[in-house]
Amino acid sequence: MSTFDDDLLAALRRSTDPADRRLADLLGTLSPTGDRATTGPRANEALTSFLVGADPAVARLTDPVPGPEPDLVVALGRPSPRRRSMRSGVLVPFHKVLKMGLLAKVMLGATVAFTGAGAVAATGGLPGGDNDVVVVTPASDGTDVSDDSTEVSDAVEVEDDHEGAAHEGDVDDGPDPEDVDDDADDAEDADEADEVEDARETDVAEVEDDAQDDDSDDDSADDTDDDADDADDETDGAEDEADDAEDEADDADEPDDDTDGADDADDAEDEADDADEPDDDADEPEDD
Amino acid sequence: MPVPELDLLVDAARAGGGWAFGRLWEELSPVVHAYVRARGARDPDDTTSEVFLAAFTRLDRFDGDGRAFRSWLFTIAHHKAVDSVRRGPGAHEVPSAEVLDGRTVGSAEDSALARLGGDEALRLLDVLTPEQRSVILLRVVGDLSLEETAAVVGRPVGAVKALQHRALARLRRETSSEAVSRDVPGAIAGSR
Repeated sequence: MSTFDDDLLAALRRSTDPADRRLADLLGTLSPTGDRATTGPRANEALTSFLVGADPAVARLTDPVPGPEPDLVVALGRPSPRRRSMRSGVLVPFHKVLKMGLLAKVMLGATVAFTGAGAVAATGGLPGGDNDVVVVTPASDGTDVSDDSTEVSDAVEVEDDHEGAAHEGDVDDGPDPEDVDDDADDAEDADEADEVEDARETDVAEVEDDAQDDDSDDDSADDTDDDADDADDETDGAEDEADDAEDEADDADEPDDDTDGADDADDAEDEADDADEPDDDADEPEDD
Repeated sequence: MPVPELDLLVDAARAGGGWAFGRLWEELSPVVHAYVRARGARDPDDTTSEVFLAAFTRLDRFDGDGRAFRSWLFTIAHHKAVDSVRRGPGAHEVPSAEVLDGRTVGSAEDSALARLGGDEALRLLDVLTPEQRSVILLRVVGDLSLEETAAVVGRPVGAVKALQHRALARLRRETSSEAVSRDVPGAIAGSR
């Protein structure tokens, strides 16, 4: 650090030229580590929020500025929880399918095929005419046809067990709570990912304008969270109604089990009829 | 600040230690603030905050030790200062002109405080081109080497050496002329 190339100020101070020494004294006043006693700059609101979110103890070092909630700022640097979205989007409908009855599974297959064919027709059809039931939807809009089909089959199952017939007109009544949660998660994930990507990809020259932009993004994230909460609240009622319908359907199945005695009586009558039949057969040769 | 301590702070911040961000701000914000202020940024405090916020939010993409982090920080500060200067007049330009113009100075105490604050040096740097000014400030305030300065301004090391040489020659002439102008009245008074 003592060479001319490494420390310009020290080299000027060592110079024999008085002009260099005076120049070194003047330039030395620019450095906060020089003779001038300086206080550190004051952090702005955005940096204060970041520092407080990273370490609450930093709040003592900066001016108290009423900014956005610290947890929102922490979310800017947090990786998006994709695994949570995968669990709710794939595994939950799979468990639902496992719990279905045979008839419901058959109807589910038919519904998936019908919905898939409709989606394929809507998207212009698959090239080559493959028979695979693969529904390709635009990934950006967050729609999941397979989840929708599961939603439809759930509604059909409830109607079938409860009333004995499926009404396709009732299929679209009420959203599936899990699907709404999935959409909310996807919306949160997309926003968080966008925020992280924006923070990472912002060019140095563009960062000056980001403080206000980030604020607007944060507001939109808040709105999304609120919408997701509202959706959760609204779908709680639908979930309860579905549970009630399943319970009533189970109750309706129970009398069938209790009427096994009547079935036994019918069997006894059938056996009696069968017992009579040999007599008829035995009579035939006599008639001949 | 000792470089090993800076290495520890950078490593801790990169590992997610929230306390390290505050310590880095405490240690390095004065020099970054001095640079963006001397470079003519409109709001040095806000610009310094934006520099650190940009660095902290992209720290996962930074790879290097404390010295490299310091150089990286000045790279961000340099670009932000350039953008700030493009947007309007610098923060120090009007105040320094007011302070150094004897007709607008309110009191001798204000003038003395302004000189102690480095405004004389800032006025001296006004005779330089923006590139020469950046090189001198990065070398003096940022305590960066020629190679680090070249990386910050995006010029070859040879070009930075030439800029520094011409800047020092210009500043020597300026300080010499000022010294002569100050000494002449004293010499005249002494001859009497």
